[in-house]
Order: sequence, then C-alpha cells, then structure tokens
Amino acid sequence: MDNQKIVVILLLITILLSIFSVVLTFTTNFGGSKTVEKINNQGPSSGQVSFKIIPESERGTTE
Amino acid sequence: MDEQLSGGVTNVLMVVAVIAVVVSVFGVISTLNLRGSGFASSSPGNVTLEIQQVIELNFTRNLINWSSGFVNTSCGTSALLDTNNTVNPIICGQGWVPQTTGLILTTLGSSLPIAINLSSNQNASTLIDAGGSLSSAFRWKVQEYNITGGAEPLTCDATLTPLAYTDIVANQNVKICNQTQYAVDRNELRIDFQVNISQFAPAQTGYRTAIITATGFLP
Repeated sequence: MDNQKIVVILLLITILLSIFSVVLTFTTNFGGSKTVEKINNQGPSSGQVSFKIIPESERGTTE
Repeated sequence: MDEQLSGGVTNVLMVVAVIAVVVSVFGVISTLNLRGSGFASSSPGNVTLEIQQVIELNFTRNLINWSSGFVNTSCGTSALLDTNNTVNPIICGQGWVPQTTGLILTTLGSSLPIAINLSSNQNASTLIDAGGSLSSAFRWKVQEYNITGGAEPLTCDATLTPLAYTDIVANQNVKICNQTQYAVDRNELRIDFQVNISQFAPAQTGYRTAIITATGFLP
C-alpha cells in the first residue's frame, strides 16, 4: 500500500514535469518568433528639378 | 499469492515511475540549458514569421523643367522661379517656362503608416552658383495635395514639414512626414520648389539638375 502511494506520487511528479517541459519547449521555440515588417520601395522614388541659364552670347537669339 | 503478485507489479511500477521521473528531470534540464544558451531546441519547430509590407512610394509627377532662360537685369538683379506661385511663377526671368505644380509624391499599396525622408543632391551653391556664393537660393516646401486642386487633409499627421520655403541642404535627409495616414483619397504630397538665380550666376551649356529622392521607412 505504501509502495502504491509512492508510485502515484512519482507518477504525479512525472506528469507535472512533463507539462512544465512542454510549456518550456513551446515558449523556447515559438515565444521567440518575430514578426518583421519591411517596406519595399517600388517604382521611381526620385524626381528632378532642372533649368538652364543661357550664356550671354546666346541671349540675343532667345530674346 | 495475489498479494505477492500485486507487490511485484507495484515494485515494477515504482521502478518505471522512478525512470520516468529521471527522464522528465533530464528533459526539463535539457530544455532549460537550451533556453539559456539562446539556441533553438529544434530547428523544424523554430518559426520566424516575416511579413513584407509592399509600399509604392512614387513621384507621379517627377520632373520640373523650367527650360532655358536668363535673368532680365532691366527688371532686377535676380530671377525668382516658383512652382507654387500661379500668379507670378517667374519674376524677372526671361525665356524660362513657368511651372505651377511641384513634384507629386504618392504612396500606394499599403495602409501601413510610414515616415518619409526627402533629400536633394544639390544645394543653391552647387546647383546655381557653380560652387560659389552669389546669393542664389534653392528652397523647397511640402503640402498635402489633391489632383483636383484642393488639399488632402491628413495625408500626413501633424508633423508635415517644411510648410514654408526652406533652404535645401545637399545630401541631407529631411523627414517631411513622421507618419502617413493612408487612405485612397489622402495619399499625395506636393513638394514645391523655389529657385532664386543671381544675375551673376554662371551660364552653362548644359542643364542644371537636382535629383530629389524620397524614401519611406517605418517610423
């Protein structure tokens, strides 16, 4: 009878340790997973501002 | 006889239970060691989820070209070209073609709030004065925009800047918007430019061009 109680206690300890181990395994493997958000810039993201200053020698033809 | 049998089974069970406890303890210690080391305890079960948000950040109007011209010295000592002045887009300039709309920057593809940096590869000195200092100016400002003419409120949160013309520093990222607030009808920003050209600015055979680059990133 005493031996049976010991067996029951040992089995309970085993179950608790197993549950603890499973929880640890899940938190170790899945708790560290990350969600990474990235931005992909697509298409042209540059514009241009341009002009030309006409040389004085050429201004007579433009005026 | 039954008691002897029962006692034997119990002993066997006890041995099994002790072994189970030892194995469990070993498993827990093993897991704890792996956890402490930072290594994954098993590669197939180690999940890293990566979500890529695709954002199109485009200049839907990507060119401002005033063409060729010069300062009309009978009017003033410099010419002012302004994309945000519909009444007098060119003051004291001759030959240049008026531009009355700035660059239009459009965000498409995601409702994810992003910050936007703007940079120019030229400043007034390099763009207009050929590296000198002749009091020329190259400035920009931003505003929310709607192609129908009105503003699109809330394209950016309250951080939209600069709202007034500000001198451009070459190759410096300027955060014009800290956080976009995307919606279909509020996804456009307008960047206007003002160029003040001194009468002493050297003429060139080719065009002077500044490249304006917009970059989106997570705030």
